[in-house]
Amino acid sequence: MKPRFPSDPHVFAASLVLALLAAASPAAAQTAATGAVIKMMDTFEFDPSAVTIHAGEAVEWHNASRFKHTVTADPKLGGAVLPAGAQPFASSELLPGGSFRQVFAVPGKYRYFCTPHEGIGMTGTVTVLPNEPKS
Amino acid sequence: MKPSFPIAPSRRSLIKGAGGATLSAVAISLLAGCESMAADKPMAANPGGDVDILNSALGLEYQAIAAYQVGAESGLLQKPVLDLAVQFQGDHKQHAALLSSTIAKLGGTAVAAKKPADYHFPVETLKTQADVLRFAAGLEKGAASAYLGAVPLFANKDLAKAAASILGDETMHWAVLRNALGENPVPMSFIA
Repeated sequence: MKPRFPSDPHVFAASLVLALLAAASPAAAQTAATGAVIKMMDTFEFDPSAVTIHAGEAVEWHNASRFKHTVTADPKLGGAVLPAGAQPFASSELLPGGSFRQVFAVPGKYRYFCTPHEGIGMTGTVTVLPNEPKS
Repeated sequence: MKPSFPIAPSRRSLIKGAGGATLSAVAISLLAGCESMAADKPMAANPGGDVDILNSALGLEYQAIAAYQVGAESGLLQKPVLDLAVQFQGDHKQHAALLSSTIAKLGGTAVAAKKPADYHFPVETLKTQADVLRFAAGLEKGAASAYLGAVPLFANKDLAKAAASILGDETMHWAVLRNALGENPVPMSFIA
């Protein structure tokens, strides 16, 4: 089947730029080094509950429990704390075996939680250190 | 604040619903803590998985017991709210005893309660009675959500029913605590 491109070259160019922009973030998330891996447990805890990484690295959360969980770092949705300049983020509902990956560009301390289980202490912190200068 | 209705329903009213339907013999024995009745019945087809889920729930009950202890000993709760907190703690103790004995019946090993400090409760943020109530309400909501997640996981439907019964109790606690805070006691049609 022949692909259908917009006939207007300006529209085509704009579409191409938008597509590249849309692909940029996931690509960055895939290529960023993994600074920490956190499991979500049957005990309604993040394990480990506190990790430290460097700016530009990613954190991966794996739902190793039988329950559905989230990774939520949005002050509008609960007791999240973000460093100045950082954008809120939140996973979708993670089924058992599911995972979520987030790249941290802004240094500082992030406090996040599992939306349904925040009240029973399912919270964690990610401390992001500035990038070490390359020698 | 004194609710005008009995907070803890009688076992008879719990067991026999408004529609007249009754729980099974195993569920009744689980809810009533009757060792002999429960022991006579075949239990879960997947006892290992069910034991793990029960242990997750038991851990939450121990956490709730410890949390209410913190609240009661904070000196911030005034009667009759203090009485309510003690009553709710008593409910959690009953839940814990039931879960623990059921785990034992299934041949499992019940988890132990943590030391209070290991729960990392936000005690430094508890300055007023409202702070304690809000903390407890969050805990009850979280527990209700956890039981909601647990109910469909049980291989043994009688255990699922017993867990649903506890879920209802946690939700009642949450509603009463919200009411005591002056908030809408039932802020949603469904819990998540």
